[in-house]
Amino acid sequence: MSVIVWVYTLLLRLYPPRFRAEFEAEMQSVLAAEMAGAAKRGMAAVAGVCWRELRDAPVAIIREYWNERSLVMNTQSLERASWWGVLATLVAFPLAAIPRREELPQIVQFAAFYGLFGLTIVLLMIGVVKGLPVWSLPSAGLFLAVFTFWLGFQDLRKFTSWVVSTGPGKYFVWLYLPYHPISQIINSGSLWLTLLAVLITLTAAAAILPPLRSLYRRFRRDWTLLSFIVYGASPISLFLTFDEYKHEGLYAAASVLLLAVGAWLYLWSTFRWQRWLVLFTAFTMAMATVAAGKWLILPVQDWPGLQGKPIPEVRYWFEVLPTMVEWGWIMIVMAAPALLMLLPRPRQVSDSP
Amino acid sequence: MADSIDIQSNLPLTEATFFILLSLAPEPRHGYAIMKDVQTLSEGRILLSTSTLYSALKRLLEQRWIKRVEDPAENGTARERKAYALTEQGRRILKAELARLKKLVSTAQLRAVEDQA
Repeated sequence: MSVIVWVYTLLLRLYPPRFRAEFEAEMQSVLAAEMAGAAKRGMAAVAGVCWRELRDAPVAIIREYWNERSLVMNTQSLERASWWGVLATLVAFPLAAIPRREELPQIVQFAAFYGLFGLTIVLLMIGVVKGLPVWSLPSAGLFLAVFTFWLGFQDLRKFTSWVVSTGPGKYFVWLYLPYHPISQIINSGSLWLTLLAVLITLTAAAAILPPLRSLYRRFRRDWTLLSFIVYGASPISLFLTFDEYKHEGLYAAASVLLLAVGAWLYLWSTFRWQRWLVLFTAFTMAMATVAAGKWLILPVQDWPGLQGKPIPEVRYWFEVLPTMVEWGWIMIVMAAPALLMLLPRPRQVSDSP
Repeated sequence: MADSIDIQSNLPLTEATFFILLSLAPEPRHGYAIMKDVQTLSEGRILLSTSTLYSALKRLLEQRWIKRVEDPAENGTARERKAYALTEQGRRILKAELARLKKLVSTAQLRAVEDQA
């Protein structure tokens, strides 16, 4: 019996510190009384008590962390992160720079990429249990974007094909012609607009569903948290934009470093405008580095048609412009959460128990 | 008027919350006594774990539907133990929930009588 109480004591350590300080001793004594009563009724009763505790504890622990998060939100000006939190935030960013590193042995690339990927997943799971603290939002954005792109992009393609082939859509077929500048702009934005649609859906769900309302209140209090989620997804853009390039390592690493510095400064900023400015500046500098990198390394690419003759300037712009367009779309999606400020303030009523 | 709107917005209560408030209606009780009383009131249907009980108690305390009091069963002899009691607000919520349930039952009974006729 004492072993069960000891295990239960360990289980209680998983609760948030504030909850433990208030209820830990009381919960221990209640469990001890419950176990003593169950022991008199036999092993089945003891097993029943253990089962109930193990069944209910995970949900209760997650709920208390989420509740704690909204309490912290009410007492601080803007959510901050500890040093551990900052480190956890920065883990996901190098993911975009690791693949296609020809200077590294394949096994090292493989281990570094999947090691970081696994660590990001673990940190995100810890973040979800702890009520999505600010340090976990970029990883949440990264996985949300991967999921959205994988799921949404396919359907969006089908949808646009359907629009083009039916009704008034046929008059706008030129919009979808490959290599048409407007077509490229639309295609570049479709990924990020799908992510925006997913974020709007999630925010609406958080506003409606009681267990997620504390998250919605956090977004209303500081809309840059949503921008930070989008910022966390931006390494995907770096990853995609250097597709098929060689010798891009230095520029990819520099842009990832700029993004990581931006995330770090965001976590230490005190005001919303500072936070937005940091994200805007860091992301703009990262994309400018990518664009400059593409321009500079174009002559050393071994693509057909590029070797042995001078490259016309238009070809340089052909490579760089998509990066600038991508920058524009991501900035729009990152700024869109500011529209939350136009909505009426939510009622300050605590959730039902 | 504003108060009644606030009460209505908190209804219906979850079953666990309802039984915890009901358990505290006659007198203050400590955690273990609440657990056992809820089991009795629900005829053994609701068996609270400590995590469910204390998560609910924490939220009820935050909402000021219940408050902490000295455990009346202790008589100052044993170590300090916390008991919980309904506040006025908690009592009003419980009454509102009971009224809601009564109305529900009477509507259902009326319809059942109409069907028989």
